[in-house]
Amino acid sequence: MLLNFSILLGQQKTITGLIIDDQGVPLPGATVVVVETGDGTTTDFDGNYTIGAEEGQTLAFSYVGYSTQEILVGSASSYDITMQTGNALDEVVVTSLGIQRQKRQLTYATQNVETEGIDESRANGNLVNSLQGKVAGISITTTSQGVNSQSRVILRGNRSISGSSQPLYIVDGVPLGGDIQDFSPDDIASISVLKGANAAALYGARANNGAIIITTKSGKKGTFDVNVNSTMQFDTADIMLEFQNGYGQGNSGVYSGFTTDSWGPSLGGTVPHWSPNPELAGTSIPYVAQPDNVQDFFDTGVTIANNISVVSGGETMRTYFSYTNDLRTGIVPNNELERHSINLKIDNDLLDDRLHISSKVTYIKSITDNLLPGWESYDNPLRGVYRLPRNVRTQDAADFEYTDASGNNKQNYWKPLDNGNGNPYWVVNRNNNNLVGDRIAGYASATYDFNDEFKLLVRSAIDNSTSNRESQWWNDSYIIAQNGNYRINNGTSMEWNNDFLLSYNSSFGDIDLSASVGGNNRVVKAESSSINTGGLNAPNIFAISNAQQLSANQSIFEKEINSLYALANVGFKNYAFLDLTYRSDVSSTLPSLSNQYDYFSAGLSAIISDMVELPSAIDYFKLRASYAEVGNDTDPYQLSRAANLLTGGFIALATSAPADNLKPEQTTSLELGFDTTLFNRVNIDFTYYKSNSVDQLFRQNVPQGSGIATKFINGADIENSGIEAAINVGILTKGDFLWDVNFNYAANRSKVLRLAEGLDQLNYGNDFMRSFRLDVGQPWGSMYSRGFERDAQGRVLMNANGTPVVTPGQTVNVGNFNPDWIGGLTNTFSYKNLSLRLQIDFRQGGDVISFTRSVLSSDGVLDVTGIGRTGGVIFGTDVYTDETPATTPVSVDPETFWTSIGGRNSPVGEAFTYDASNIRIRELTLGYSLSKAALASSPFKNAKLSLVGRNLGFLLNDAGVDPEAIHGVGATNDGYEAFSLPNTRSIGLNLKLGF
Amino acid sequence: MKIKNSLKRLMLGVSIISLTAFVVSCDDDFQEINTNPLQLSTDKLAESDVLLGQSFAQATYTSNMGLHWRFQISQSLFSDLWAGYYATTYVGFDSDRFTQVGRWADLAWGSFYGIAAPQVKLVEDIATEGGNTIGAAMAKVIKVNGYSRMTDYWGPVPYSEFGNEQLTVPFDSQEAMYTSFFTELDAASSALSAGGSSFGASDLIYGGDASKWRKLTESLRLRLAMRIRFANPSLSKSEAEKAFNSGALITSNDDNAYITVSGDNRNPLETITDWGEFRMSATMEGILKGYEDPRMSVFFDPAAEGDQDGDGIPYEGLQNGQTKVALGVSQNPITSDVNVYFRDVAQGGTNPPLEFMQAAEVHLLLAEAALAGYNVGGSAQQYYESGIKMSMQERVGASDAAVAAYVNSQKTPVSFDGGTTPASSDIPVAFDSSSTERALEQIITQKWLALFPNGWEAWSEARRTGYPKQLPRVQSDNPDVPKDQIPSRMIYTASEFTTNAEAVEAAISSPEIGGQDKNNTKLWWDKK
Repeated sequence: MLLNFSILLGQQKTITGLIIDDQGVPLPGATVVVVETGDGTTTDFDGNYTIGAEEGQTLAFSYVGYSTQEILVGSASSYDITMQTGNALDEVVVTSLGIQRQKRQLTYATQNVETEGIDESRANGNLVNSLQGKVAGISITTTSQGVNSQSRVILRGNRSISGSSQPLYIVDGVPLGGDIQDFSPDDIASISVLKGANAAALYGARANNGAIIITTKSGKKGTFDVNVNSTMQFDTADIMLEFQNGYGQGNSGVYSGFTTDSWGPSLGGTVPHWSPNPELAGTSIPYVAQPDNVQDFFDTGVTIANNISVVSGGETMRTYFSYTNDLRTGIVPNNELERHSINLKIDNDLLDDRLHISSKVTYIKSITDNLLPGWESYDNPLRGVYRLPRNVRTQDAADFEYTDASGNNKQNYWKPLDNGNGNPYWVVNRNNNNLVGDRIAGYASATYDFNDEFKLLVRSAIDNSTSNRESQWWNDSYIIAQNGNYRINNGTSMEWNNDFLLSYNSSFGDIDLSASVGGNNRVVKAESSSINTGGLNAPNIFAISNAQQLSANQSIFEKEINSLYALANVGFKNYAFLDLTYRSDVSSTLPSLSNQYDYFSAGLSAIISDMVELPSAIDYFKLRASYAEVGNDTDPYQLSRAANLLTGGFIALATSAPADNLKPEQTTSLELGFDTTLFNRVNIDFTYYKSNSVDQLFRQNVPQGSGIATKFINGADIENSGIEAAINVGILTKGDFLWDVNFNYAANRSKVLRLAEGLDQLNYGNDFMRSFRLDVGQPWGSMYSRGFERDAQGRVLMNANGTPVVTPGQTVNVGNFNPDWIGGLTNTFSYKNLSLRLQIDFRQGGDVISFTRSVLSSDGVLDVTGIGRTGGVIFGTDVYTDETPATTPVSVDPETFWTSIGGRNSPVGEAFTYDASNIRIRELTLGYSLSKAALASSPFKNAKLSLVGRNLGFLLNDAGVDPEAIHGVGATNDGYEAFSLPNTRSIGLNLKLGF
Repeated sequence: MKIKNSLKRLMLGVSIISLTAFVVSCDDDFQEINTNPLQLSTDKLAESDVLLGQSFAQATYTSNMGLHWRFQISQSLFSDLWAGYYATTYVGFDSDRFTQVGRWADLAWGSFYGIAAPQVKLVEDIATEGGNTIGAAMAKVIKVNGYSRMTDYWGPVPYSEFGNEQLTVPFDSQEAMYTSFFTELDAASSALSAGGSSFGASDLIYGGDASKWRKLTESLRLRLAMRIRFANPSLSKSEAEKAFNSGALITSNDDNAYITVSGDNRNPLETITDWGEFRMSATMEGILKGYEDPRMSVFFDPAAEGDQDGDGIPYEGLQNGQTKVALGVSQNPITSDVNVYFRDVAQGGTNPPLEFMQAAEVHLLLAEAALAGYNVGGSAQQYYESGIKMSMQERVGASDAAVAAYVNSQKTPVSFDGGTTPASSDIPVAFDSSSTERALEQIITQKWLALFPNGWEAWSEARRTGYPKQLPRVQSDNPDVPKDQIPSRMIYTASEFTTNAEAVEAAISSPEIGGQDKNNTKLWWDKK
């Protein structure tokens, strides 16, 4: 009976083949898809593929820049394909809910990311960074945490005031709780970016920021391949700050060894040692310039990454297994990462290929030592490094500790007991923090094909992370941490999705119809607890039982959302397409009477070139338009006013008023665009979009006398509109020498159209340097700081002492980080087995404010502070030469000048705001693949050696710092540089071997 | 075929069940998910005296600026410096040169209105509704104390309409607030006179004892009555006499109002001492050294590097208003830190209770009342001397003989730097009955010493009376406040201009501020 059954259902077989281009060159990474089932694979380095299909099914072969070809599977088991250059628009892309569709059918913008080489360049150990410059309109800024840095990703502008504007990550059809920072690039088969709500509406709330869709590698039928990928990289610091080397420690021209300032006398001779070490009391040290003392601090970072993967498959089961080991040391001493990733994916085709059971487990363990916290954190050594007085010798500072007369281990620092500063060598050795992260992500799914028309998917997926962070400060690290300090912070976070999708596919004459209904249950839960010893009793014993003032904290976050959705795609003659989606969510975070919200999207596309005769230069022309709405909920626990239990038996009323009539947020998005191929070699994707995020849930500061500090507002309208273009030109497409150019361009304009009634500005982040503000009528995210007081002609008012008059408060709009446009230009050259890829990223416009430069100016270490040490400086003449003083200024000594406008507590941000425009050499890869002939007598199936460089330097940058280095991924960190890492240059070698 | 069909049915069944599960969302489950298990909801507080008591503890602590950094940004960095108790040695603290750093002031405002005031209102409202008259009276006293501190900083502030949950909260004039304070204290005193107790151990001051709370109520009335002496003499007199005639004042050190602290809720002063940012002021040094005051060694510690000015005494003050350049070199080793008693436990400190009001202050208030001709049952000199005695007994356990020697001393303040800078004043300790003005200087100078380290009250009295005379600052960065004066009030905070603009503008244009939202605008009671 069972046997009969399988015969009835047909027989799947393994099909292999080679895909070459019209010059006979094998195409690695080409996509092969069984059109009927959507099962897909990609070719290996030699262009070989293996896929399971039944007789009578259709295989579709696609590759960027080539026309898609289809073949009908017959009795043969091998099909070699020669691809013809053509338009890129027949490529297959993965869309919402893991549905693979031909790009020609889509009614919205999506872009496949060139994943070739991401496992060679291995950007900063953060997979997200691999997307930099490769997608039109993706803005990726990186935090300066060193190895294992987080990144901030924005598509089509910032839109959410209190929530995240970052996209959702979908891996193998399943939403993640976090991002893909720690995923191994070796496991990635493809990445496509759904840029707006239009494409991602089916994913619900989080998709209003777009989605990044990742497909990981799978096993292949009839194969047993072992691949090894090894990388070694070297990182170096590319410091752009320039220092003066004429004057050392002191104030008012008088030497003092006990200051961080370099306003002392001109360098030369010897001075009493700055060290508090009693053994050095009375000794002298040379007082000479140390031009390299900042550079000396940085190490050469080393990355050693190895991956081994096994791709295998039999008749009914396919397995992909991979292990990645990533070891990195940063450019800051003792900043290290050790990461292990294990990935196992098993696909089963059962009941004669009717039932597909699939499961995947990814386990990632990341151990990071001394993640750099940035800004003014006591654990940030960069603060002390940049502030090094110009006479302090590396060998003296590197001798960072001593034992005092009482036997205590003390910090050897020029300004002992200074609040919050330290010798950077002490910080990297004696302020230790480590972070151990464990992440398990995976799914189990079953798809049953009832017949050719109906199939049902049921799936459960989880993304669970735990993090354990520990921080140890040795005695004498910080003035209030008596005998040292110890902190532990443990957290878990979980995202659990259960979903089903019932799909129907059929054709009626010229009409192709596919429709699905589905549902999703999503549970998000996070818990954390922390313990702080508040000083230690016995010095440097890092144990909770050694606590002086123990304090503890606990927090919880939980919400659940149930959703139902439906979608329909209708195609007419394969040249006109209609997409409709509808989704309804019920969220636990909203009041029970209004906790359900529904939204829809609709899109149309038409391939004009297939409908009417166009001039022969136009090979392909498609128009598309779509409109989408996406609703959103809020954070849990906002509906009632809480009272917090404090240690010590106090109960404290929460300061925020409850929000009892919350309405769901909504983003509406309109998108228009075209895709075209011209002269058989130029592909252009162009999109215009406009999105409005309204009814946002955010906190407004209200008069504190009202009895509440903040109140929930359901308001605002943040508009983002812009254009995106991806242009590909195959300049040389025939012969041994090939040259391909890709250019991405995107310009986004944001505008705050409305906040709330009676509210035309919202300050939602401020510090000593600047306030981050939303002003009605202005673009998102204005930076306000102190500025120069000006007269009606814009001239700067001057004080009698020669310093400019500055505003008392942060009332001057000094700039906005958002760029006019961003872009990426990639040139790919190949000559026989040799390939060269050069990617240059552009950012034009926008401003960055530098807290570092403000502090370093007031310290007297920056090069500009060396001007006028004898004779003084004149505002507008010697410094700030683009400013015009309202009255003729007198000469002022530079110490008075710079301390009056720079420094930490009340800096004049206007004086330290720079154009953030920059052009950087993002990536340079030179690869050589050994030919088949050369490998014939070796045990290898393929072999490739690459030389890889990343972030090699700037072609344009006037800021003197990396304007895209942020210190946190929150919205208010944009355009704010504060003791960040220098640009980190990477150069490395990569070797790939296939057995 | 059968298997195929049954499988089909099974899968359809699964999908129907899952569909149903999605469609039927359970509100009860969702409400439970959306309830934070780590918090209480406010309605639970009304159901439990214990929980309300713990809320009262928080109200008491926070309305006196417990919480270390809130204490620093509200008291240490403003009134403690401007009262002349300390000078700062930290280069980043511009307020010692009379710059009101806006961010700190904003946080100071928010610490009261955002944290303490809602808490006080919550307790008063729940206690009143629940018929807990003693608890409600205790909350009223905490409220009057808290708001009096706020109006003494800023002038008109939100008071009567606090908690209106509106986008505009009007400010009350200082005059109206003081009038209301006395009415509130009347109500509290009357309720407390019935005796009894509330909140038990959660009352951090008197363990719930209503009779002691009545003494605090009347003593606070006396403080506020004397504050308005020059602005409304008749109300001042009647309220001061009412306080005296109640027979319920804190006249003995046994009744002193101190807020008990713990390892979790510490004395805020001790929590900031580790930073090493404040040192004895030069004014303080000159007065304590000149008077050979035995309190010097319990208020302060010797400078780490000993005697600096050659007088053989290792206690050293720092003149206020040091320049940034001067503070570029650490002044800490050569100046006196606050006594170890007030410092962090880790440095050998004691985490002492937080001062609210003591008998010495009450005696010295009565001394001024008598000086002003109020009928308070004694002479100015009697109360002056008993006030000194209360402080001496409390602080150093002084013998009667030692107290007598001190009160009869003709010693005067000395120069803090060995004669380079003249002494701040020529006023002796021994009571000078020849001149009411000199007597006032003596009373307030002694109160300034007795109040230490309560800079909040000391700055108010320094503004009201001009005493003690302080040495000039080395430098003032504030054009409105010359270096030989001290600021008269705080400028309104930026957050009020962004969130409550209409009300703050109205307050500024009210007669009490007269359009001059400046540090040198005198408050309503500052009329001397």
